[in-house]
Amino acid sequence: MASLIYNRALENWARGSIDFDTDAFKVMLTTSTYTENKDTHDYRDDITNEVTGTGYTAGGNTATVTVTLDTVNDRVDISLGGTTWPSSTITARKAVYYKSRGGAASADELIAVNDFGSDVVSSAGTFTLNASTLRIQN
Amino acid sequence: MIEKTTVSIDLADIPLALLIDRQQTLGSKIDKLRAERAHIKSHIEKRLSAGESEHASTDADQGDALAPGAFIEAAAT
Repeated sequence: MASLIYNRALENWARGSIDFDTDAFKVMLTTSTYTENKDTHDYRDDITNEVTGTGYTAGGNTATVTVTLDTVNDRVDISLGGTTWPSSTITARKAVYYKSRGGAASADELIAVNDFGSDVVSSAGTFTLNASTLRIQN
Repeated sequence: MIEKTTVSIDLADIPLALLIDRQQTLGSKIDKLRAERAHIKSHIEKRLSAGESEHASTDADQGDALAPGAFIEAAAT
């Protein structure tokens, strides 16, 4: 499977329930067993097979999101920030970004999933996730 | 334990020919060391320019992992 933006994320953005400038976002890791579905997965409770391991807390880490308007190239870039899990022992295949409301998983809107292409494994080391970019090209 | 012994020799007591010989021997050693240093230096520069790091990996480094970011485009056209 490939990295993707969940369809509902675009709808929520259009309807105003997601504000990339002011909302809080988090990123969680999953194993390769999670199969993303851009049509039917809309909230965090749809995410299965979140990783478990030393140095990783369920729900993942806070992610910094920034929005950049590019009028020269007619596009908006949304940067989904990277993060690290120090002193961790983790095997992960995907990173799922979501809006964190601080409560139930069923209330957290999904944004996008980043498929690494293969398992990434840390062993009593630092697991570093690089930032991703969502581009809305006009 | 390694014992260090220092022997002082009064150079005035050493024949001039011996001093000259000693000086030339030291000079030769210095030249050889300089040549060896230049040789090693050229190897270092070659390996650094090939991208090798002078910092050896540690056990912690070996356990590290890097997950790539993604670039996802949604077209509005």
